[in-house]
Amino acid sequence: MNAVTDDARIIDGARLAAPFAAADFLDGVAFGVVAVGLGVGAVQATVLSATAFSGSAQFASLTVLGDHGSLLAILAAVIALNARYLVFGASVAPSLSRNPFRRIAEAQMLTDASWALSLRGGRPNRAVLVGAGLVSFLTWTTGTAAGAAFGGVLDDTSAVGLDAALPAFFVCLMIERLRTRGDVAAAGAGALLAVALAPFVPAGVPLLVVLATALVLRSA
Amino acid sequence: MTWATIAAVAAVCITLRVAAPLLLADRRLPPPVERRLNATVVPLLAALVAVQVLTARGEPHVDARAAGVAVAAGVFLVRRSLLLALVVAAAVTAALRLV
Repeated sequence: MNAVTDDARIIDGARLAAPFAAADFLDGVAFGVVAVGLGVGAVQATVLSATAFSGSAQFASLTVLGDHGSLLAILAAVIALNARYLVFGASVAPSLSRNPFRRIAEAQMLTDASWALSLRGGRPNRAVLVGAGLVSFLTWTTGTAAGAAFGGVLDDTSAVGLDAALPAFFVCLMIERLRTRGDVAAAGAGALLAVALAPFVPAGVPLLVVLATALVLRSA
Repeated sequence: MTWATIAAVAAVCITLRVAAPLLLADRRLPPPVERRLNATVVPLLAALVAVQVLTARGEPHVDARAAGVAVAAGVFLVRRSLLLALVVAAAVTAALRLV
């Protein structure tokens, strides 16, 4: 792969992720506002966003913290919510740089969205992964810093419907991959299973069960 | 939140991301495994959307957002434009909340 096409695809990835950059930013703001409200320092909240870089894991950490949960409870929630990243990592691994340090940096750009976008062409594309991941990383981290610094100014993403953008985005990526009746059945089964399990297990576990079931059942 | 907690949460998140790429080094996954991993994308995306849109605090729940996402899906099926679908999702959701 030559450097020019590589760069072009990083821009492609960034462009693909751009439509929900605003949603990521406002989610970051919301996290910053909530974190500071719970007594987390502004610098701490921002560092957490720049390193953990996971909205679900970070909000869950705050929830457990708010309930006076132990560190162990926090980590258990984070693992349950993010264990799917082990599989995401395995699926993009063949496309990542050979250099271990670059590899780590590239893998750190994994999000649900960047992972799904990077697989859009059928084979994982690292440049798309990095481009899309960077957009989320920058907007999420700066959003957190802004929210933590100015707290409460702008924390309602629902008024303008922005909270619908991300799930809509995932729906579109899924629709693109529906080629056979089996795909449609797998989508329906995955959605049903997740919603059915949600009331009975901690957040994050429904996704894990769907992932595990899909790995075992689908060989096509 | 202590710095130790932040370090621990960050370490777990980073480890989950980099573990497989580092352990696999530059070996390719066997094609059957790769196919299996690829086959998880559709059900996982469906589950991700369902949990976000059809549940609230673990309980089944439908609101304006579900309608917005459904309309966006319909628009995307007809006109394959991600941007248009996202704008429609946000607009429909916001409009329904005003009602």
